[in-house]
Amino acid sequence: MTQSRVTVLLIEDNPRDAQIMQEALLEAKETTFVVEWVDRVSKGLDRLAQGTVDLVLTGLQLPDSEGLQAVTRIHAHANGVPIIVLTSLDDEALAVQALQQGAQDYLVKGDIQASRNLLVRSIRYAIERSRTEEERTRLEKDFAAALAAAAVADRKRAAELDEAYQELKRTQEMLVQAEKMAAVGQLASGIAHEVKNPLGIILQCVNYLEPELNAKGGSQAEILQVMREAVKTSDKIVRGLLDFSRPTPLELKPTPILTVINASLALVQVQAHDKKIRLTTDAAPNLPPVMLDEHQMEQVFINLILNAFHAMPQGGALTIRGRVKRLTEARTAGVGRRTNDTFQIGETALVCEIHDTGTGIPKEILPNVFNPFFTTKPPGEGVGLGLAITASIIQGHQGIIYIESEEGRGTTVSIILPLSSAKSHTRRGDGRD
Amino acid sequence: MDETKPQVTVLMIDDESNARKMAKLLLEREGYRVVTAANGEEGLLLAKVEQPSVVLLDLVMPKMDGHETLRRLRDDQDTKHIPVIMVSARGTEHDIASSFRLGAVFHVEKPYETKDLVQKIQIAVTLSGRGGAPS
Repeated sequence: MTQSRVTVLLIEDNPRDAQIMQEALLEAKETTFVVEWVDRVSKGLDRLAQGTVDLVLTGLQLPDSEGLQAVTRIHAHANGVPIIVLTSLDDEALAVQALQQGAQDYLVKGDIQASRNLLVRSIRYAIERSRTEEERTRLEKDFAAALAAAAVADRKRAAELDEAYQELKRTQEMLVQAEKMAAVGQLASGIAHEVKNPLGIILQCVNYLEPELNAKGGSQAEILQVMREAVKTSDKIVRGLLDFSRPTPLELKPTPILTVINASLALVQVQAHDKKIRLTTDAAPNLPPVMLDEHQMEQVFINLILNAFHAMPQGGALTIRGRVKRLTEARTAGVGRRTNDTFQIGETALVCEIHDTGTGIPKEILPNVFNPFFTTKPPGEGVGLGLAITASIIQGHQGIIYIESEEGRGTTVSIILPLSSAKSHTRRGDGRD
Repeated sequence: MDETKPQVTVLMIDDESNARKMAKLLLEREGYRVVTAANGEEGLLLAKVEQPSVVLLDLVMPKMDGHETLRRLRDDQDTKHIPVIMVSARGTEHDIASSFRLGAVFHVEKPYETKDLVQKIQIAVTLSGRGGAPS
């Protein structure tokens, strides 16, 4: 027992018994016991509330508390202070119940009278046990806290792992997409050659029949003209394919984006008027020039504008916005903190948005719109290369493009371009020709 | 027609038989004499023997391709003076640049209008000063 001074709260209404206890404790040698005696449980509880009590000694026949009820009440307010029950009965069953109610020990008064040491020893043990108990509780608490901390760390690690996995998946998807594009490119240039040869022969046949049938006039001459047009259309489609598969070297020059936007809008003015589409440009006139291939970027804007027109058969509004923005969101693929992200968070870039009030793109097809040969147009109206070519031009400009759309409300295509680009590349940058 | 265009011999080298057949029909109607070869080697031989005023040369052919055939035509003392027009379904900038670098006078992409080809044949023949002008 390390404590040399022990405060004992004695709850006993029998003065004789109280005195015996006090005397027994005062005789103890190694420890100084300070005994505070009260004769009611209620008084004992008041004293306990003040603190600095090391142990409670209580009788069971108290005026304001009958039997084990006293132990229960004291235990509820003891706040870990050990309790020893004093009784005049040597009753094993009662002793067990007292211990169950929270007492540390159970002493028979007669025994104490016989061996005064018994009380001191019992008190020492009780305090020691209580201290051990406290220590155990503390360790348990520490352990639980450590476990909880470990669980938090685990969850954090799991989240990090999950994020890394998602990132890997995205990168893999991008690689797969790039491979798909490259494969399509190779396939396209191979097929293009195979198709252009017979187209050439058909046109030769048309040429051969022309003088005779044109001289006759009428439907046969018309039919020849139809054939020629079909050949030209097929050739145009094949050339589109080749355009896509062949990286056209970019001729980058510092160009104000407004120049490109205005040139593109000028080309669609008449169509917009016919389709009852209002065109608005919302761009600061002092936007800094960016490194652009003016011709190819025009193709991008015209593609996107015509797509928007297509989505607004009943008319509507098309707005082109241009802003210099600090990129904050990492949600956009290509904007992040890793070195292979096209843009770093915090980087300042040119952001263009082409917004329409059209039918929108259904969620389930949105992930496919940049895939080559993906088209929602009826056969013959498009081969599905517009957005694929658009995306590859943007990539060639070291930029990113993404689409947000809400069905029935409209679509916004965003293009992010670097403000200064020392890195000039051919489209898709794979160096093939 | 034959008075303004004295018999000009055109050698056409193309591995596609229908392409040869149609070109022959069309160009003969225009007044040319047309000889054809189905591959590069045969073409080289015919060029030496026939001494055509112009060679129409396909690019993509098995074994010896058009550019290799062109190189050999230019390397051979007997054929180096004959103007060559590449006629191909392939027309990438790279293809066209190679054709010109190797000495072709034109690179015509298929499908083409016959009148455009005839025009180019005339220019090529005139420029080379062989058989184009009335003799």
